Amino acid sequence: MRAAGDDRRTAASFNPAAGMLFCDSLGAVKSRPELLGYVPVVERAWKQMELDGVLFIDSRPVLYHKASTQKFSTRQRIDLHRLFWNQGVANVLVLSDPATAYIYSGLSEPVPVTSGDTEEKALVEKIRAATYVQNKIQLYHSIATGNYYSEKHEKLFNPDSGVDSYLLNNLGALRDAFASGDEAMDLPTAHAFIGRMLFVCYLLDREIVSLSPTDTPVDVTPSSALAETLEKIPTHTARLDFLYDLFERLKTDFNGTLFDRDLQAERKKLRSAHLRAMMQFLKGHEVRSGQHTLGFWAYDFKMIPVETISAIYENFLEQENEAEKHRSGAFYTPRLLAEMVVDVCTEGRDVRGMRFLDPACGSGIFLVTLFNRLATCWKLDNPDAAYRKQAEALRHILQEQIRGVDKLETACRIACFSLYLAYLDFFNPRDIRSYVKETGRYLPKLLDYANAPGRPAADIPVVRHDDFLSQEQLFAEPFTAVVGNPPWSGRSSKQVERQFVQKVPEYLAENTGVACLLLPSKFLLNEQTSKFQADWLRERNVEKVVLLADYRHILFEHAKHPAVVVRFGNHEPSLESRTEFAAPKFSRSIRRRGAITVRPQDRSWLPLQNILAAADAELAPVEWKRHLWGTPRDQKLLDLLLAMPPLSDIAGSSRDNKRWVKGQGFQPDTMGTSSNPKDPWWPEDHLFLFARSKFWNSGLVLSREDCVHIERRFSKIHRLRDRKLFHPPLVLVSQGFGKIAYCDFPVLFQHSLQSIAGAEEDANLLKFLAVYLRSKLAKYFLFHTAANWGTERDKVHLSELLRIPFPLPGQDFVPAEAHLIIEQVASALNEFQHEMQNELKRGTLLADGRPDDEFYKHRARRTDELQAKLEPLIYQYFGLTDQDVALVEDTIEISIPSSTPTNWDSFVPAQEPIRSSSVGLYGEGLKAYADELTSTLNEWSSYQQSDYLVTASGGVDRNTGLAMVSLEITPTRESYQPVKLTGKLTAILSSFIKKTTEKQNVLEYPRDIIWFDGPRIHIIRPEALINWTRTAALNDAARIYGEIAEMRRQREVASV
Amino acid sequence: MSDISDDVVRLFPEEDVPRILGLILIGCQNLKKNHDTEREDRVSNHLYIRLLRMPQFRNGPWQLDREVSLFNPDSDNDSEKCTGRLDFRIITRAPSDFRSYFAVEAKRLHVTSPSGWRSLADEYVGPQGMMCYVAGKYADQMRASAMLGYVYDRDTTGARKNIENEIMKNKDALQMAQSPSLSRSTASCNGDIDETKHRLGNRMFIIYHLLIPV
Repeated sequence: MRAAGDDRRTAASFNPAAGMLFCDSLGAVKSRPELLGYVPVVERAWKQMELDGVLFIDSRPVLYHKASTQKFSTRQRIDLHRLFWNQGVANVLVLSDPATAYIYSGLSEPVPVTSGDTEEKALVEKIRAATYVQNKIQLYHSIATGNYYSEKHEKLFNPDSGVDSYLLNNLGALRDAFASGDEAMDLPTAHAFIGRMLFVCYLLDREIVSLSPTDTPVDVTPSSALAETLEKIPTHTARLDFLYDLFERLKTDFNGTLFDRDLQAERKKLRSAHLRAMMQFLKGHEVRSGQHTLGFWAYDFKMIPVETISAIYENFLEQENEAEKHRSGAFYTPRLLAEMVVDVCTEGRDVRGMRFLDPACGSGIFLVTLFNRLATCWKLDNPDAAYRKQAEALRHILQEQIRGVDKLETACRIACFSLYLAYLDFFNPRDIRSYVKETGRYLPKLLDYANAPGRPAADIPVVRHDDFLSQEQLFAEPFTAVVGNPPWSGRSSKQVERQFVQKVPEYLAENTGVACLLLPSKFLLNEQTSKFQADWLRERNVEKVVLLADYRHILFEHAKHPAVVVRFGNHEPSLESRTEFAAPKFSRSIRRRGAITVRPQDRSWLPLQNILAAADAELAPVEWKRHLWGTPRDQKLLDLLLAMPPLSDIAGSSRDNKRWVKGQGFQPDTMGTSSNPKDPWWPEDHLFLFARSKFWNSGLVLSREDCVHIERRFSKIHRLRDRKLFHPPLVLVSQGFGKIAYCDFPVLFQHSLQSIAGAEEDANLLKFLAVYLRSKLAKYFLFHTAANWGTERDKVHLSELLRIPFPLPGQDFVPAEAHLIIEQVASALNEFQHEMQNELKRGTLLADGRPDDEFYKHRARRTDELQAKLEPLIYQYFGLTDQDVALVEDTIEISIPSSTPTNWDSFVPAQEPIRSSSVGLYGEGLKAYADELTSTLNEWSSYQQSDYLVTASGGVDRNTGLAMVSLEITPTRESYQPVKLTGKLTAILSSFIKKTTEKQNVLEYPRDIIWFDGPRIHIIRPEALINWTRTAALNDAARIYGEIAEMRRQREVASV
Repeated sequence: MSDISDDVVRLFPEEDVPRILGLILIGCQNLKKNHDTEREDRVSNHLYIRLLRMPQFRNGPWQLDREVSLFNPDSDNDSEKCTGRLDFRIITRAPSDFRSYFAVEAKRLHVTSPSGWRSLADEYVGPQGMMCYVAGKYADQMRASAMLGYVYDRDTTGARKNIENEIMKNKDALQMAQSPSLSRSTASCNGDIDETKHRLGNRMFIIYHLLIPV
């Protein structure tokens, strides 16, 4: 029984604004606190590319705009696109000159400049400059809705063609080239060498160091020039001499952790094949195939964000640690995801005075992200500071404000490398050299070897090579925040992430400290976590949960578990606290791995008392799960279903002595591993059903012809099961819930099938159960309450299945005619069974006595027809209203097939444009939404004896991908009117925008608009189906009703 | 977003109150206790289930919550924060302030136990009953709420009289705004709902009384 509503707003909660923001100056970018994480990359782009504006969507940069009073040459455009692609942050680049606007994709690889007729593959379109100016707001909306990517240019905005994907593949190939073959190098050495080479590339491309001037050809990045220089050196030994001389020079100039290895020992392991692979990589060729894909100038390390390299490098580290190889869900933290985790950690807090710890820092993605934010804050506060003062301030940040720990030395080394680059990024190259000259201070050694013998001491011990879970106290001073992505492995109480969660508070400041960790979703959703949650939630104040289940395959291709971001305070929660719960849904409009948008509809606030009550009842996973796809209106139906007596009230194991017995089939001892094997009790001619029988593709009622004689298939079984399980009447259910059938004769089956069996007098009730378990309503309930369905695997545990509501005739919850409904269903099943028997008699049996394929096809079709015919009776039995049925059908037709898409191109009904939807009722576009909305509002209006009704009109603007439904008050009931929108929508949006905040240099556009415009109400959103379902209409109706009631009240107050 | 500021305290729409009271009365039809000394919680659970099932309730713009702990956000002391456990809370499904709800508190009346018959009107009116509203423990931002009296001997006329007597005795504490008695409420045209009016500071507060034979 739930105690409280979940969608109340109790306090102002910081979240990146769900909307668009265009900044036409760097100052405007810097003035927005929500953009803090992107200031360094935008500043770099602004300066390197001389930008004129940046469009942010949901606080992420998505479009760069550069204007020129001169015509852009092809070479200029290609160079600018190359810089843009290398940065890998925004998706769209607009270059506009007096005649033309060129629109480029950041998700199409750059091409080399060739003579004259270069085909610009990344050029999305070329439009007249005047047209662009006229339509740029439409373009922005079109990008925000995803319409721009999907409608016209899907292939040009390929998430796998971003710089991060390209680098990930190529660095992986480079590492493989080092670590395989006859001359394989050990991984730690390979990683150290590759990491140092990347560092050198950064120093070269950012002009912090230079090769001798004669070594650098014109029009080539310095890092590519390094490759060319190496290629020109005739012998392997001479190349090594060149490289290691360079390393020695850098060691002298920069010192630092990257150069504290035994370089001579490393040199001895390098073979010519290794250097060849490195040269291929530096020139942007595909190392694995040797193809010259991108051309000699592709990479430009002055643009590639440090975080990108750091995040990619983390992916390699698991390979190095044998013990970690088999950990489930090992993955690298995409750069944009790390930004989001840090956003969640720091929202509502001023990072300036905070001290951060990453307890499993990996290659340092979180440390770099945090360092960048702290340093950016300092720079914003001290815009005119000289480089010397800045250098001291940044060292102070390293000294006092960030710490990381990792068990893997290479990880620590890469983390230091990333931090060096992040540190150097804040200076002009000239200033760095001056600073070193003036102060004699090189890069500090950042790696703390925890007093390991023979290792140098750290100057600033930012990264500690150690085990966070060790008994030793690693840090004396508490931290204000712990943020990171601890390893995921183990089960139940041995889950490593749980050990991290329990250890973290030891390092947090009491009361004020906060932790924000990226964890596997099983941390909250696993069936066995309720007891842990009941204790833990009483000890720590869980402030926010972002369940990323829907992005499982998109974020981490090979992860077994989806991720969840959990933020908790280091203090006991107050009794009335609520947890903000966000469950963002996959959207094709983003296109960048790790970028996630939380729609307002994806957020809710869960009272602690609800979660605790659920955890105490061992139902904590249900409490979280029901809000993953369940909307506020769904919660009302789920409240009803969860309040009903569950199936477990009448079905239990043999010792429970309940009305029905439930349990698995027998488990054969095929391997002879049982300590006490049993002899089968059945005769050889007993019927047996294979778990993979063709029956399951077609059947609802099992027939004898679907079975075979068991004969001597199983000589021994593990243990004896209750024989009642195999005795009719019974319902068979597969593990995972995919297969359900009724059976009225004795049948044997193995443990991958389960049975619920009862007495003969319950035959009709069990027939009803079989139809019910296959029904849309059962699927609806289980999708919203079972832990794995819609998160990991589409599987339902038996314990979850037994929670399904199953009130009996005569009980509250079912109508008086419940008996009749059961009889009707049973009768329909009997008729079906009879029909199938006749079909069998008419049809052809194969030599083994089983039916032919035609019969199976026919039965499958008739089974579906029968199930469809019986669905209304199930709804009637449970007293569902038309509204409830709409919720159920939306879940079946939209939510379930949309959940956890496997890749960017998966068919996701929820994201399909409403105007071309093929889902159920939505073939008529916005009509189903509008009808549900108006009928609901009109029904509610009738409660108050109002004479007025609302009528809807609406349409989709194909240029922007926005849809709008407008409500007007009418004296009579009128049907929905589709209208053409293009001009009208623009006018309404302009009018709306005039009423919203306007600030200098900034244009703001919210993306989910319900606007009360005089006597009209406009609802404006992207045209994705998820925004225009009947479920959305029911929730919107409640919002609108509340707003109208409030306006009425305010009018009354004003008139008094 | 909408053009209404999120900062305002949104009160539960008062025009919905008659409708909600009507639905509760329908839900209470033929409501039965299981035995003479049954706690009111069990009866309330039964009513909750009936209300959840009621299509008008589920299709309506409200959310029904059962047994809600209420808190005083202004209290710093954790032990004093929880002001009580309200039997039924009805809120609109539109985002609104958490203090905006329609409250229903339930009490038993006329209970016969082995130790004899008791009116329990004093408890109905007392600190765990009507006084919860008057003292601002519940519905402190609201202008109306309801009391539900489960009359165990089904003598609603007698229960009404006993409540009136208790109200008379406690009229000052109850800060009655009019004659200290139950009057027929206009919230129902059937005359099956009573009300009392209270002047709580600057706020006029109505308590609706639904006496249900069970």
